Amino acid sequence: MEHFLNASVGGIALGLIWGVLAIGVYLTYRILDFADLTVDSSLATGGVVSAVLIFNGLNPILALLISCVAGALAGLVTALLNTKLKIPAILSGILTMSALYSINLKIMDNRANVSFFGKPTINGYWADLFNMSVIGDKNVLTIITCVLVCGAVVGVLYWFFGTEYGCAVRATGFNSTMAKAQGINTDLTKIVCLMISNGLAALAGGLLAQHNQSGDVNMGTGTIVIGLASVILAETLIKDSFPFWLKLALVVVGSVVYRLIFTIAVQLGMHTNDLKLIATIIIIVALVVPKVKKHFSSKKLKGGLKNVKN
Amino acid sequence: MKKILSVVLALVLTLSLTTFVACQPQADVSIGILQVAEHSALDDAREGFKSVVQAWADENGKSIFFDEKNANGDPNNEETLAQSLAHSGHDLLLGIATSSAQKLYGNTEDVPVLYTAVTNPTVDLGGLGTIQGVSDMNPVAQQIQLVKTIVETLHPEKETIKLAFVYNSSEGNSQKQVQLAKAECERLGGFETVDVTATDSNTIATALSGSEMVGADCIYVPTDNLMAANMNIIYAHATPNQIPVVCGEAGMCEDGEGLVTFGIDYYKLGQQVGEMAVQILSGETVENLNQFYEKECEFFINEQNALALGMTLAQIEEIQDAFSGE
Repeated sequence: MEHFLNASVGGIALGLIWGVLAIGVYLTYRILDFADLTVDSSLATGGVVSAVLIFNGLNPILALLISCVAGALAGLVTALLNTKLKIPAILSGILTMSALYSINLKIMDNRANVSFFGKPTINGYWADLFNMSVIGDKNVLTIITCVLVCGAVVGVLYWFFGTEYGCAVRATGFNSTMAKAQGINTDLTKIVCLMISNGLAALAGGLLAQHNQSGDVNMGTGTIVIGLASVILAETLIKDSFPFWLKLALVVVGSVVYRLIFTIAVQLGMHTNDLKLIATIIIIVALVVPKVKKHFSSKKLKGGLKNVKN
Repeated sequence: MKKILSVVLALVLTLSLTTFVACQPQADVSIGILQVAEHSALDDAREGFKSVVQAWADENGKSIFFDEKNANGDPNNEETLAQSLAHSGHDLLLGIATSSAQKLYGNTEDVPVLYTAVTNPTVDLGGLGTIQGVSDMNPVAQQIQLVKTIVETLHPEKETIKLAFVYNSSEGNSQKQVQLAKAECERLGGFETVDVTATDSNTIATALSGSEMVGADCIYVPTDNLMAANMNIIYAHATPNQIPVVCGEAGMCEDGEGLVTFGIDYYKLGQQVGEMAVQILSGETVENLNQFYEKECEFFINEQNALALGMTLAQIEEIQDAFSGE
């Protein structure tokens, strides 16, 4: 049981890191209505930038911020391909994603992996503060880091999407033609939203690299699936009437739940070759549950009407 | 409330899938193995490791449980699996390939961790304190010795050997090997080395017909991913010019393109790590482990190509004996 709990804490830590990414995916996929595949590589960009900077002795918090900027630049490229060169959304994401693979290798000086074991990470601050071990209590330390980061991200985004410009971004996603008619520069709002989203993906990548104490060119593999699955899981909880900050917080919860299911499945002895199948089943269940419920509630309504007739 | 209920229901349904899977059996010794992906070389290393540990357990009348996790190339699941293995109460953990080893080392303090199939452990696992295992770095020095033997056999009259390094200049792994190879050439003396580099398959043939290749006595190809996939291009150039090709690993010769290699056998690599594991399971601490293992390498020569170059069967056997004996 103790092993089980320890592993679950690890699942929560990873889930919170992926929560930052899931917020980014939520912004493009739900708010902007733009299927952005760039995140698969911009997450890795964030990771390798952090890894290289920390390896060279830079402050870990500064490294995270620079990661974030690097990811935002990747988002800018996708946005420019889409808005200025009129390349379809999915394709511009794929193009940036594959180009970034080479760039990520360049950042690491053509190595596939950079590790910085023993160098200070953001977790080191809490380790000193609470007198914990950087390796033994790694997951607890990451949870502290990520709760703070997620809190800050949700707070800043809540403020931003409440401003006039934030509303313009939301309007672009809701009805881009109408938004244009209202005098909104929809190209610019798309650029801003994609930069924020990929900045968040890279921030998650930076956190992940610091958690793993290494950056790897392949660390972004499957990012978009994780992001979308987290958003879909979260949406089984979200009601339209919820305030925006709560929706964002629930997206993080969705990500934690998704990761925990994996952890528990592995702990129960599930064969690792079956994990991708599990992931698919989770997503399908999450997509179907709301529809089934709707089906039953509408049946109830019909029954009610029949009673009235009789 | 209903929504929460439905999520809980979904979770329970998914988890019920896992309940029919057997939980960990009780065994005297349990070993967790994390492997980055399905890959024939890595699978060989894992099986080699298991064979040695299993033999030890049978000898000592102990039951053993291998908790094998494969990340299927997904680095995110890999971290989850590493955490799970670290907290499953195993006696020993084995990380196969760089990223798996890194993730295991990053998650455990009190369980001994061994690595295998890591090319550059001092760099990629550096800063971790005590790390133990067997690296799969190419035996570059012996391969250069092989170059020397081959050229001396073919052209006994030559005083200096012109050796061409054919590799992808953007693969760090190849750069490292070429750097080591050049140092070895310097040490042995009597070599003139040239670099023939390409960054994609379209430029390999162009590079090989360049001026650097004029008068080359031998081509050395490290374990370079690009060149391994394009050995036929190198072969097409080397054969008409009667240039022997010495390769980084057997896979590059077996398909009929390269001439000869003295490279790593991953099954034996796994067996060596298995022996280290047996030492730990017998009560040795990681720090005191005998770490000076000579890597077991395998000699492979493509006889057909050797005969085409004008070697006699007796010469082939002589070289084979010289290297297989090492």
